[in-house]
Amino acid sequence: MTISKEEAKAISELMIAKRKEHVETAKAAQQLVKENNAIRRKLKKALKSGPHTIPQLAEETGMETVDVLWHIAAMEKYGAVIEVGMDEDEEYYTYSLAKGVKK
Amino acid sequence: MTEPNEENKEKDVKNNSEEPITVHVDELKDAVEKEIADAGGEDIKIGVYVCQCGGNISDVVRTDLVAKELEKFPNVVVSRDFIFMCSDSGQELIKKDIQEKGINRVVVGSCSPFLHETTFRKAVSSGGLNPYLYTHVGIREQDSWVHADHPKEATELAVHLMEAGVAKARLLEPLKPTEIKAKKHALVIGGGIAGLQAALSIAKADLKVTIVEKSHFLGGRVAQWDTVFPTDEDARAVLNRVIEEVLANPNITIHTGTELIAAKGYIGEFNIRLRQQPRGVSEDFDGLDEAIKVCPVEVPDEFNFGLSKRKAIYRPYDGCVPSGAVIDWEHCTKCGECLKVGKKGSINLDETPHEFDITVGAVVVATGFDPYEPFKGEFGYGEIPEVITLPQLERILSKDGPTKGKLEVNGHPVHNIAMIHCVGSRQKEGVHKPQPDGKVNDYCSRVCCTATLSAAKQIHEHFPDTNIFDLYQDIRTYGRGHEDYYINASKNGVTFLRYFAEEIPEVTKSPEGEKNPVMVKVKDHLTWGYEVEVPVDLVVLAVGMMPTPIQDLIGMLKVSQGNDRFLLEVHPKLRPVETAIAGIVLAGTAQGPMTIREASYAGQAAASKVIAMLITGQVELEPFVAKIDPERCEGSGECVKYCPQEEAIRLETFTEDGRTFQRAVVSPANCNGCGVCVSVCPNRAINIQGWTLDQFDAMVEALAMEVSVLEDA
Amino acid sequence: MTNKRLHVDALVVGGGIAGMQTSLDLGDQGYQVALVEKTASIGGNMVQLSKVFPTLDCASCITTPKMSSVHHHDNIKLLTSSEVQKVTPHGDGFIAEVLLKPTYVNNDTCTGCQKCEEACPVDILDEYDYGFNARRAAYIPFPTAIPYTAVIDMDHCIFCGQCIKACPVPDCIDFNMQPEVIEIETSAIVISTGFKVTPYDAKEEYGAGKFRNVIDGLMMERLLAPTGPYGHVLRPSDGKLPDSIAYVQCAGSRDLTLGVPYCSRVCCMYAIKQAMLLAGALPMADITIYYMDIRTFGKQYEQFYQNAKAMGIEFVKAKVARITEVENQDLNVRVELIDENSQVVERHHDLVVLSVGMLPNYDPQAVFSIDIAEDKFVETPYYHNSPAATTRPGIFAAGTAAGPMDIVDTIVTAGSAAADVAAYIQSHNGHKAETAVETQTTVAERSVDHD
Repeated sequence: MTISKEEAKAISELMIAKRKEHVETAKAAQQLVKENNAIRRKLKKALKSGPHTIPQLAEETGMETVDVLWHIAAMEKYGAVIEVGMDEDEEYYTYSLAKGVKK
Repeated sequence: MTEPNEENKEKDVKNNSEEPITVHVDELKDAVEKEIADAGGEDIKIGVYVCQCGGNISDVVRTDLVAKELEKFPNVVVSRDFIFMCSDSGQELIKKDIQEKGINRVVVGSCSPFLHETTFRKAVSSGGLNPYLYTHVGIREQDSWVHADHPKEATELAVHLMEAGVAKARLLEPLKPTEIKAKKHALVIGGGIAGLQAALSIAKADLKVTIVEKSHFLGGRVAQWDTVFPTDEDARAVLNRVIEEVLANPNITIHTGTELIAAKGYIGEFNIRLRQQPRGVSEDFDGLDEAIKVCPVEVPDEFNFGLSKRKAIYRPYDGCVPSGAVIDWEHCTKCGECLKVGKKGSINLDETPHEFDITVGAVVVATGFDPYEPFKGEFGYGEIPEVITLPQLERILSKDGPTKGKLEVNGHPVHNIAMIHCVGSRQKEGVHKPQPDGKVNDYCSRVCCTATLSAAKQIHEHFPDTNIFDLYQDIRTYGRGHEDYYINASKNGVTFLRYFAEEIPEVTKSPEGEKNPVMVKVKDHLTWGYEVEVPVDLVVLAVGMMPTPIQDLIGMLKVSQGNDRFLLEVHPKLRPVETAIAGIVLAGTAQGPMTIREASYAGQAAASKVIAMLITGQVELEPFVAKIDPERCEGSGECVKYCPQEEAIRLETFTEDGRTFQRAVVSPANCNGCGVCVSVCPNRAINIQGWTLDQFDAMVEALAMEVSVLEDA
Repeated sequence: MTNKRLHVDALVVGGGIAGMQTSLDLGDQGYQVALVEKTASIGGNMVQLSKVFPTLDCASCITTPKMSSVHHHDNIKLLTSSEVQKVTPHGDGFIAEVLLKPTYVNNDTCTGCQKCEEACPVDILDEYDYGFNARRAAYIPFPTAIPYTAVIDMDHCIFCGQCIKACPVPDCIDFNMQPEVIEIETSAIVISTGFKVTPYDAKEEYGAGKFRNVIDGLMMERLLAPTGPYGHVLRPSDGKLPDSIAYVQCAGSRDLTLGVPYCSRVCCMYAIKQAMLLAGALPMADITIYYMDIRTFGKQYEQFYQNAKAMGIEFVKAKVARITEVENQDLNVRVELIDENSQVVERHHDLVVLSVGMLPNYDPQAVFSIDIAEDKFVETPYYHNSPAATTRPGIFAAGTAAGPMDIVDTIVTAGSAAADVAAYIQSHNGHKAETAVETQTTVAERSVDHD
């Protein structure tokens, strides 16, 4: 799918106009995306060293386990993370970065 | 005509050899290609689809590998796996492949064909193919669910099963359903609330309806109740509203005192023979009171559940429909006393039953229930007169009941009542005495909890000095408005005692001279399982429901019963009111315990199905019926001899080229495709369409093939 | 101004299992049906369930083919993302004003390729998984959605334009899409607006909403579903495989303090079903069900309950007084043992499921002018005789809009409502059965000028 310069310009003009109609929600969503991206970067960095459980990731990143679980589930759903096994006590699953995922 | 036999012989020899048969893909490929060439080279293109069933299959079976493996087989043009084949997008895949890749045979491996074979046939059809160019392979019920612990083997099994499906698909031919004219007329068996509701709804859609009711009166069980929960309405008022509408509807014909004695046919055209018992008494007879007085015969009155007696000329209650009296032919001695009273010629004791036939397009079975009849001595029933059933209590509370609504038993007033739940329901093997068929009633009868507490409420209202002890396991006041009766009972001072099914309460006669005639002993689990003794004047057994015994009818209509003896629906969610016999649907408590409201719902739901079946006057029957190969049939007549259906197959005499011979002929509408004729034919001259012997042979060969799917993994 | 008007025999409001079945039953009888669904896909609550009792069929296996049949039925016109705003009498029937809400994606051209979803950078809580997982702001509601088309969630959009750029179909994504109002002229209406569950945090003493490992029955359905958020049953607090799971029955039903005095009918069976599925998924886990009365009243339900007992599920007749969080976000459950003269004990679990009950999902009084009963569900005044009829002639109710019930019962009430609708149409528009099928096979969709 390639897009011409004109088309790209039209899209961005439309988006600017639409953002003006939804200032508050767009701002909040933008903030959310920013936060999510920061968290994802942290999690990906931690996962680079090998498979982790949710509590291990929480400890390394200083996040709450409940938040880690949500992000890992989301990353798994959209293909950035895969489940690879279990920890020794067979209490927690371990997760790795999926092949071809950046950072 | 000897060649086919030779061929058979060869196969027999092969099948009897000790060596397991293994065929390799390449050999098969050659064989198939040859076959196609021989057949004139129709270009067979097969689409294969392996369903993941959202994990139900793919958590065990590697559906991706199965799809990949199937690609290798001859004629397979496309092979895919997908999350839900039955979903819209799954069905779209098939349609697209038909249109774009030109596939002309479809194989889906998924759940059991029972669930979704029809779904996929429709998809194939809307893709523009004949719907019968489709093979369904069960790899969930027959594979992933049962082999969850062996994923590798389960995957191999899936390949085997799918390949057998492909082998069959190669030999599929387009089929056409049998189209027949449908009579726009339904038969409703049973004139209780469910049957009446069904009849009314069908009639309102402008179809004709015939109601047959075994007894001489309409209304069924509802006529016997006093007040119905949760509206606290008079049961007769509820009933009469329906009956009035039924009587006023010109599309409905009613035959009371009538039973089925024979049934044959199929959806669209069932031929039913009915037998109607005469009433013996004409509608305008004016001497009933006198006649009842002079009749010397006394029998237990079933309307009052045996609490009173009635004569051999009787009617159950004032206001019954039809309103005239009848003769109880079983007990009438034909003494002639009744002939002497009232208008001359109104009673005819020589009337005989008459038989007649009707033809209908569909049948609603609404034969209802009988209250569970406790064994003699069960909780003292039948031995202690102060032990009665809940239906009997209903009659006692009724103004036209045996005590005219007074709370009396055995002539004594009642102040303390024990009500025992789950009598004849939720029974346990080894604890409870089984029914004559060897089975206990392990089901819940659904309505008795609320019915009991509703009776308790009535007693509290009309006889406020009465103490009620309620012995239960779980109180199941589940329905809309039901819980109020439980809350009310607690407020009104009903004492609840909880027993376990393993330790059922004991009911004994009190020793002479005791104030209360009956003693109930119960281990009450609300108080650490203490044994509590409750002296009472009356014990009411909240008996459950059992289906009306209709063994003859079941035999005639060939419908199935569940383990609980109630009639069986095809599937509780997919086809909840239909039976496995097309054109026969269920309504009301014949299918399982339900309340009046639920029976009305069910009657109307059954009507919905009947209307959909008959409204166009045309029905389609599945084409999976026997087909004769005229080349091979030698008229041996074995098929006719062994066919279990009526008029499905017969021998006809043909004359060709001056030669006269006999040959079998099938009536597709009567054939149910059971295949008995196929197995007895000495000439391999019969096949079930869609399930031919050649197709089976191909499937068996495919199943015997070696697969090596996991080496690729 | 031009208003589109659709002419049908019956308008069905709500596309859950009740509405779908009613539509199918009417469509099969030859009536023209418009099915209006508020959300972007039909399917209702059932699409979120794992397996369904008592047959343990997977819920999708029952729902998706029905959804597909509705979608492709010649006699059913499907309107998703739509709401009935106003109903006015019209002869013996009604005219309903229906608002078609913009989804910002053209349903007719969207192929469901998910390219927009892949491109969208916004991850928010996915309602389909009760927030346990994420969805995008451009998304397809769930894997078996019908129609299988994308939706743009304007409230969470950052207007980056990535979805438009990714979409392979020209003009399919349309940020300028406007709401539209159409009129539906119909002889009869069926309300099948369904239920929502009692809020799981309504009982403060149970700590749901506060304690991560106290969840409700529908959330557990997602955890158990093969398409669920984690692919396994994991505790929401930290992803641990639970090894001691408790069910609290009647958490939201039969409770006067919550204004829900009635029994919700399904909670006993779904708890038992989930317990059985958990016993399969987590063979080492202990499962306890705290209950007041076990109400397994339906066909084959009691046998189902006895099977669960035989499998080793522990049933304790008790009232749960309070749940507190202890170390590791485990839970302490304080129970009064009813069978032991209300003796109080404390039990330790690492996951608690509240068996929440049912509330009506919609109040039809304002738009449809029909009454609701004391329990807030649709009043059906002809309780025994015409159970689907509401207080207004020509308007009927099916499924949980008229009180809690399970799927089996829902499907039967749908058939009943369809029969009532058919009878109503026949008696008010004359007998047309002989020719009805032919004259009704084409939906006349015409534009009416209202200058």
